[in-house]
Amino acid sequence: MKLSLATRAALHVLLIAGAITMILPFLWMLSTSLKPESEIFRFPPNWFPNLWKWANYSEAMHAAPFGRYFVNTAIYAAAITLSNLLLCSMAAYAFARLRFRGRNILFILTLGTMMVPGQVTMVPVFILLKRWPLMGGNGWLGIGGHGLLNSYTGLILPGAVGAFGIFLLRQFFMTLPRDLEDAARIDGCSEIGIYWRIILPLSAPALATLGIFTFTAAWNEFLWPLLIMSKDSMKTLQIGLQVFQTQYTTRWDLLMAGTVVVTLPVLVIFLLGQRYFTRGIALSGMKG
Amino acid sequence: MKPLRLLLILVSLIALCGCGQRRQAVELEFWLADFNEQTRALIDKQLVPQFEAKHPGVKVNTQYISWAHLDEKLTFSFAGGVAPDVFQVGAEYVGGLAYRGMAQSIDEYVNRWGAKDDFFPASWNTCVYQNHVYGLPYLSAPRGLLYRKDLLKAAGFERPPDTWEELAAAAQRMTVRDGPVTEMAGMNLPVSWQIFVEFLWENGGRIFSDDGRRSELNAPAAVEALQFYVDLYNKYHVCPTAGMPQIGGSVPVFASKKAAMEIMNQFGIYNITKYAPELLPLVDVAPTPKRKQRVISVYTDWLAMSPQSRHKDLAWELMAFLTEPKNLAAYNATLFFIPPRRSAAKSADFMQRSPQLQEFVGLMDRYGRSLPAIPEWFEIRTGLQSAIEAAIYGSKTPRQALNDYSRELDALLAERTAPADGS
Amino acid sequence: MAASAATREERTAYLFLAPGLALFLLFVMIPVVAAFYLSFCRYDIIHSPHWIGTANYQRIARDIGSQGVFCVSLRNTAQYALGTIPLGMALALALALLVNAGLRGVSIYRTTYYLPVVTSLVAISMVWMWIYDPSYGLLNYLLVLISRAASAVTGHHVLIAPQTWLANPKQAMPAIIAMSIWRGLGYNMVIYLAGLQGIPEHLHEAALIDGASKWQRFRAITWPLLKPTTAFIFVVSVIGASQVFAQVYVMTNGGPNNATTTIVHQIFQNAFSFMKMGYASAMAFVLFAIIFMLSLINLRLMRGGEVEYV
Repeated sequence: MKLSLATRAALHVLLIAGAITMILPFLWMLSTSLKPESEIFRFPPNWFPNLWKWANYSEAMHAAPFGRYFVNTAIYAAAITLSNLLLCSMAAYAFARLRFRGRNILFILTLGTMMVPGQVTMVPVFILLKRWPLMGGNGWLGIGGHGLLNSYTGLILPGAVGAFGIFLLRQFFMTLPRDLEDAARIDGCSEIGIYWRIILPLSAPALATLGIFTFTAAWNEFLWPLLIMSKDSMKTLQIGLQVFQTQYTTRWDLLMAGTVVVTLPVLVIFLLGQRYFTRGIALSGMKG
Repeated sequence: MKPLRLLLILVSLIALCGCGQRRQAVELEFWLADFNEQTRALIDKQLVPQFEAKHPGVKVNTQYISWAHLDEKLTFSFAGGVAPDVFQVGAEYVGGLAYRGMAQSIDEYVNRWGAKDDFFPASWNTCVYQNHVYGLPYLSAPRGLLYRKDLLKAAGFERPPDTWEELAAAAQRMTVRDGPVTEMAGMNLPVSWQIFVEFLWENGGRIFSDDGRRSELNAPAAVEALQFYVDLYNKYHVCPTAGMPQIGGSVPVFASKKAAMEIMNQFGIYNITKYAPELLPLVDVAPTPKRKQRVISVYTDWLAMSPQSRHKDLAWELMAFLTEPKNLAAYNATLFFIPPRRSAAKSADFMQRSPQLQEFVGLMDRYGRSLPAIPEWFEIRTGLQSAIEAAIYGSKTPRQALNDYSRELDALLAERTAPADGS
Repeated sequence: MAASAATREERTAYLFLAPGLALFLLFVMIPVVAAFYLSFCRYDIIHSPHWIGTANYQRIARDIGSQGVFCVSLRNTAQYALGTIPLGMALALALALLVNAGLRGVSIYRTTYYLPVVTSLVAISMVWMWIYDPSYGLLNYLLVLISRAASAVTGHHVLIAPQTWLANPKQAMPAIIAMSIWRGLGYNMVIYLAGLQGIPEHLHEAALIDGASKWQRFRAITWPLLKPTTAFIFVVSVIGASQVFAQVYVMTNGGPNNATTTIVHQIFQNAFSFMKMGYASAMAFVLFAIIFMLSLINLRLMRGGEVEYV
């Protein structure tokens, strides 16, 4: 569709205006992260620090064992993402392509769980992890120790399969043309083979999409790691950032520096995966 | 790689991560909620190593938990059986903790210790529930009336206001307005249930009945107190408005020279020192005005011990060590709070150097009062705050707001069952 | 042959479902059932739950009848949903249409608009607290600039008074709504973009040849074919809006004067601050019932949205 120069220019102006609104808060975040405390709250606000305090970054990173927190967060986010991709796609394939009794009821139940706020299911999950038999000092009946609390397993398992992932991928799978599968089935390919060699490769875009969503959510997750981990060495980055907020004051300069650093990995993941985005959700059963 | 194999690898990786921990020397978990960088340097580099040196084989793991999440963390750690041995809590906590079995009563330790009388009564009472002691005070914040001597004099007053009427008059005289914007607020008051409680007590009122089972917030004394508070805002217009530094926000109002007086704890002096040190000689501390009695509300944060602790004797040693006068003073110095022990308050350098802080100590000793120990404070402070806000923002009259809340409070207190099953 | 193929399919289905379903059952479905049981108990998380029948639900009913805080939170949540969903979806669509119009630099725009989604909600909320700060914030500064410009233009002394925004009971929720729309824009835009790119070009070209205007093309081609995308975004948005929490907790903690407390904020407070987990669970299931009903209605309305095109 050819657009006139005037129209194109006008559209660019609109989009850029919008983009500036999007970026402005981040510019403030960036500029605050480079200022000394005294320069932060001024009226009128100044965007460029008079004194560029790069030291904020190193000071922020040394305020708590962020290296350790980074490892914890990376393990958590990567594990959750991989397990969601694998297990949700398998479940979604069953819902989308295979016929079995109770399929619709099960699917509706799965969707229904998304409508219950996570805050009230956290406690039963917490108790379940605490009473996990034979772990963390527990006996056969799960008493005596603290089960899977304070461990990566306890952090990861509850989020390993999410309803959202099942929903998204099932919609996507339902839009894939059946010809390839039918041909493969006639050739004697097993269901697992079809799933692995045909469906998954075709679903790269949807998988990349789910991967980015899941990774981002896990990276930014705050409450669950906070409650499950009582040892300092097991905390995640988001919890680590709390150290800059005390009861009467907040170290905005260090907090913003820390936030910038913590946000970078997710941004990188997004930039890497975003090529698949549009193709991904395009077919993702927004058609049904 | 086949999907099944991938699945098996994934599962075994996850299973491996759950492996048990190695046994260490005796470890004490210590949670602190009031801290800044200096505090952490003090605790991590001085106090904890000193304690560990005195007790070989003992390791203290300190965690710094933000107040914003302390409640959740405590609840879940107790529920999970991984509660900290020693932990810091706030002024409203003793009732709830004792009632739920989350704090260990330390009467025997305290009696053997004998240092109880060195503590200010208002601070000590914060840790007492039904005549048992559940912890040691760690830092105290008494409230006072901070005022600008120069502005007061310029407005024609010889001495700071001593009664409500004088307070309103002085505040009005010192308020400067430019259209919708207030240039100088006569009285800096946050919208807070704690301010209401201060006025309530000054008016001889009470929140609870003697047995702590009924609300007395619908009494005339309470309604008058809230009316006065609301009037300061909406009738005399002496409080800060928009365009001024937000109370509790980035830069404090009083220290930005935009208020002539404020009811504030000793942290107000810290703000002046930090943001407007040239004002320091012009700021003085007076008792909060009296109506029927003179009362200074004191909020104390204190250290509690977990009943689940496997090393109670050691936990007690840690608490006693941290509250030794020298160590207590050092800790409070990092945060600019008043050490709850008389000997510590006297010996502390930062206390001796500041005449204003000495004033605070005097007020605390003579008129200090702490919140009554009630298990339901978390709900009460939220509900009370809503009632205060409703009155100040005008959606209810003070009488309506307090009557409504009083009913709620009665229902809440009636729900309390015998603590045996803890439900 | 057909019978054994059917059972083989069933067995494969179960095999595929098994690992994911086992975890899902254990960590999602059973906790939901457990939470439902807890809604009939008094439970402070530390001691065992104590059965009290429907007392929690009765308390909710009384609260709604007397305009209590839960009732207020229902109203606030509805206000939030009505504020963010229609406007947010419309803006996202407009944005997607703009970006899709064949301009260069699409991926730059896409990244920029998605930036707010990538950052943690807590961090975003804190930055916006600065924007809304009554004395140092960007928004009041803009008002000052506008006042100055207006004064210069009209020659009179125009002053738009600085606002308290988050400290003002009437402005706090709209302020949070604005920030949430800002944040969610990129997410919905990306989904719409995908939907738009699924519409074949030849339809638009055929319409152009027939002399259709932009608006006619949008109405006859774009909008109907976008219906499934719209439906998906709508359902996800409703579920998300009804559970809004993080922004409220960080920026206003439900105030001032309960102007911004939402259902999940009430649930959180009751569960973790007041240690009334049973009551919180009851509130959660009331919310569940509401969302479930809304979803059913949505499904009914959206039926017949499938559009066939040749």
